[in-house]
Amino acid sequence: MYFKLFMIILINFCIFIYSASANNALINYQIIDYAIPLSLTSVSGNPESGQKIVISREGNCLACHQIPNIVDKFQGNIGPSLAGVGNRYTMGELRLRLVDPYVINSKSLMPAFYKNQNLIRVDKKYTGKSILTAQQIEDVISWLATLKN
Amino acid sequence: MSFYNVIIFILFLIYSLNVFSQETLNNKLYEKPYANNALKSGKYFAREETRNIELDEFENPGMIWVERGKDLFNLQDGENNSSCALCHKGDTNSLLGVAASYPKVYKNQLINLEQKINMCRKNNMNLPKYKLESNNLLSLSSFVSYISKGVPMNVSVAGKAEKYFKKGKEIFYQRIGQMNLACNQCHDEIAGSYLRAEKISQGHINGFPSYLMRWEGIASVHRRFQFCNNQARAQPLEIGHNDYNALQLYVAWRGNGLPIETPSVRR
Ligand code: HEC
Ligand code: HEC
Ligand code: HEC
Repeated sequence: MYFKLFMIILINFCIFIYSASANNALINYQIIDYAIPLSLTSVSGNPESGQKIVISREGNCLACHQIPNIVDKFQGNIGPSLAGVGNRYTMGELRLRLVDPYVINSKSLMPAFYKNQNLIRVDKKYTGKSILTAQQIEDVISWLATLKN
Repeated sequence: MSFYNVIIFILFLIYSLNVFSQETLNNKLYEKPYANNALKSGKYFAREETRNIELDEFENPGMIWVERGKDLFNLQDGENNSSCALCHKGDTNSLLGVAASYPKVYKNQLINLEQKINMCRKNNMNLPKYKLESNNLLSLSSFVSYISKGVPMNVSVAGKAEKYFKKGKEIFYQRIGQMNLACNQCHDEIAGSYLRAEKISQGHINGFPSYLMRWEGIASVHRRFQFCNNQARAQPLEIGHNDYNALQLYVAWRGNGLPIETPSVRR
């Protein structure tokens, strides 16, 4: 009797743990013509929070990119300047460049911001996590789309 | 042509192909990212103010560790009342140039200078080892490196060191961490570019232990590796880890020829 109860609780607990860890699973997306045309989330991107992510340690885009719209003395130059990037690319193309740039250039120095697998020796703090969440990706690209010149 | 002739011919073919591929592999194995005349010490990538602090020994804060190391080197300690200096004849004699050859294989194990100093303390002075990265140990290794200032780095990767060299090279080219970046991607491919405020150097270790202004202290090579691992959001290894020694051997080798500049100063 107690054994049965114990087993039920144990199984429930396992299911709970499993579903909690499954939260780390990322949303599926489809790549068409070097772009991810569909939004990753149902909430449309917010350019203001996108800008904050770009500047902050979360996105850390300034480590590698110059963004003339942003006033900051220390901007890296490992990747191209993001000036006018909203003119050069569609939303879908920008989304792929953030989600998984290796599709375009397997040797890219730009990290995949929405990837949590097939990575080696990831710091314990970040294992199983993508650098940005799906919503943060949408926010960032909605801001990038405003960079027209 | 007899059957045996054919067999012998095929075996010979396999053998020569094998030798050939081995050779091309070895050529690749010892290919360097920077030719000797393109090697550039980290100080040329540092900002001018930082470089000037390094070059002025009165201003260079790393010299505090060198001075302390000199005192420790001469300090008579332990039951035998011995000192490093008693065996190593003052500060410029027998250990001159030695720092340029580390890491080195010792009794089948690759060890770095700090570990060698600790072994000497334990085996030759019967004193407890210093903790890795402790002030005392880094002071001694700073001093022992400083007396070799100007001596070109010259680690050996032949013989017993070869397997560590191969391992170290593999680590250098392995993409790791949440950022999925390998050492070579920053230090071979884009040296000279800016990562935020920092100009990326070729990643040499001829100035170690190195004074880091951001920590207001001196850091070992392994400590710097940890820092670069953090930049890629990769799990750092422990200081003294065999894999870090292997990596240190590879990194030292690719900079063989650069003069020792301990204590270097970096942001
Ligand atoms: C570690 C360096 C690094 C970081 C950090 C980084 N990028 Fe990049 N990025 C690159 C490189 C290098 C390229 C060039 C393309 C390539 O090599 O794949 C690039 C390309 C791009 C492109 C395409 C630009 C073009 O004109 O083709 C966009 C858009 C972009 N990055 C946006 C971002 C955003 C937004 C962030 C922050 C969330 C970011 N990057 C963070 C290195 C980086
Ligand atoms: C009792 C004598 C003795 C004392 C004391 C001693 N050493 Fe040594 N040390 C040796 C001998 C002998 C060798 C060479 C054999 C070996 O490698 O173990 C050596 C080797 C070394 C080496 C490596 C040299 C090389 O060519 O690779 C270093 C570095 C070193 N000692 C540093 C120190 C330091 C620092 C101290 C003080 C903490 C110290 N030693 C104290 C005897 C001594
Ligand atoms: C994201 C780019 C990046 C990656 C990846 C990276 N580093 Fe660095 N590394 C830097 C920066 C920036 C500095 C500080 C500026 C400088 O001295 O190069 C630095 C400094 C160093 C230094 C000190 C150089 C000196 O002159 O003081 C060494 C050594 C080094 N890195 C080795 C490595 C090794 C080994 C790896 C692989 C485990 C690695 N780095 C990975 C960016 C990187």
